[in-house]
Amino acid sequence: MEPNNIQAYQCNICKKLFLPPKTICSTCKNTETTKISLSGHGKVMTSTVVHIPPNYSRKDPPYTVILVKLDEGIPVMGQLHNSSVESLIGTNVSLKKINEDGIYLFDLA
Amino acid sequence: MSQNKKIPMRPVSIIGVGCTPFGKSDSSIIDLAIQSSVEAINSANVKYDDIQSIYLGNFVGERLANQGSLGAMLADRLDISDIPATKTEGACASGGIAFRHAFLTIALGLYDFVLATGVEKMTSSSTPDVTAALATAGDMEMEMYAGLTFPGAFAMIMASHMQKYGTTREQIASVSVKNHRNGTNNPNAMFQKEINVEDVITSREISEPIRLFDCPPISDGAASVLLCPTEIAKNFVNNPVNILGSGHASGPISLSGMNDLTSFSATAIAANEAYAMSGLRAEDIDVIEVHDCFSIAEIIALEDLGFFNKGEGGPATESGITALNGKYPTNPSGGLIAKGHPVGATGIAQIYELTKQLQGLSTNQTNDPETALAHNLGGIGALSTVHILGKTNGTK
Ligand SMILES: [Zn+2]
Repeated sequence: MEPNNIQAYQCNICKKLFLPPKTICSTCKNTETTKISLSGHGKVMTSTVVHIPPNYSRKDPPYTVILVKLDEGIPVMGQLHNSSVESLIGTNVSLKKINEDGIYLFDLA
Repeated sequence: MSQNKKIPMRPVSIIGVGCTPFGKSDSSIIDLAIQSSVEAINSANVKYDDIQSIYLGNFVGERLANQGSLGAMLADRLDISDIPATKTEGACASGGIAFRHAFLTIALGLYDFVLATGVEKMTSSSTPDVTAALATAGDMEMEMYAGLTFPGAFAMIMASHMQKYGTTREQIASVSVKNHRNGTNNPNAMFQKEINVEDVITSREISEPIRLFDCPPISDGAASVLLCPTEIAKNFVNNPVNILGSGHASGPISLSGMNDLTSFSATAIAANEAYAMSGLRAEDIDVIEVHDCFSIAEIIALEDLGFFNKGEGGPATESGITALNGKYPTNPSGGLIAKGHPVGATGIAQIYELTKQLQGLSTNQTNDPETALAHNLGGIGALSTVHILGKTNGTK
């Protein structure tokens, strides 16, 4: 079963966070990491409204893809849950759920 | 850095170039590659048996044209099948990598005559299939499967540039207007019709804020160059073009890995390598071909290459500095936007245009250029190659 919060990896020595998982910590070259859950709160770094979707997307266009910098400092790609709003840069969002395709769905906070 | 200054490098020149028309072609992927290769070999006046190695740039041939082994296949069809032939893949910069390796193997003394060809065949596939194939240049698992497309990624970068620097929709559209104007004089260009700013900003929505006329068309095509050491170049042609500098760097493959969403670090690093090798700086360059895979990408490239400060690329373009008669004429070929973007061919088609420019033979000739710069970008800034070329007997 998919967890309902965003999972990241933390270096056991310097506590640096990674997403995607890396086999080696870029800071201290340690290879031991622990999976941790993130808050799901963050700010939109940038966004786009997709009108011509790729064949690997099951969502009807238009839909909004957002790059979110989570409060823990990690950027993640996700979608805005139920609207296609433009000019979202700097807006606060929080994770609503992770859908069946593993996509992070955010709501405006 | 990648360049080991202790190894002596000998000067290398371009003695032959070839390019097919870009657009929808009835030819197969290998026939396109043969067509531009034969043109380059014949224009160089070398014998086929003199060629010692082939580099072939291609991105999605297996996927969209259903054909692998393109390097060996080209050698075989040219009837020079004993020589090594290497396919290079670096998304939209596959051609730039092929050109760089052809250059390096001659510069380091391994070979005297090397062919570099870039090719792509895309129009036989549906738009969703092409969209999905191009998306693989990004990080599928971490980013693209969130419903993101390749235009979508650049739309996010465009929104960031507009937010950070106040770059306007009209300034970005003016890249596309200029490149379409340049395309009207290039018989190999897919689009040869002028458009205006209004046409761009009201064209079909692809991924906001990117519209249809901010994008290059899906196209087929191939381009080739033949290289040899500069010391023997004039034995073959009277107007060889010299390769003065070469750079190649990797960057983050994904948006989430970028320190700054308005800049591609690979471009700046590759440019520094090429500038250092050539002893030239941005202000010494007379004519430029940059990777305008979207209109915003040309503005960012010109900033990352040092032609403009960050944030000044939009106003500079709107004011005409990058027009054919401006200080920094950019994409006289029409660029990817008007000429077409058969992905693997693009990096070598840029060299084709700049060689013609330095020989005074372009169909869209700038005013007697002595130096030129080609910038090829792979993926969402995952890699870049930069090459600096010089006219024979140039004073710079
Ligand atoms: Zn660490």
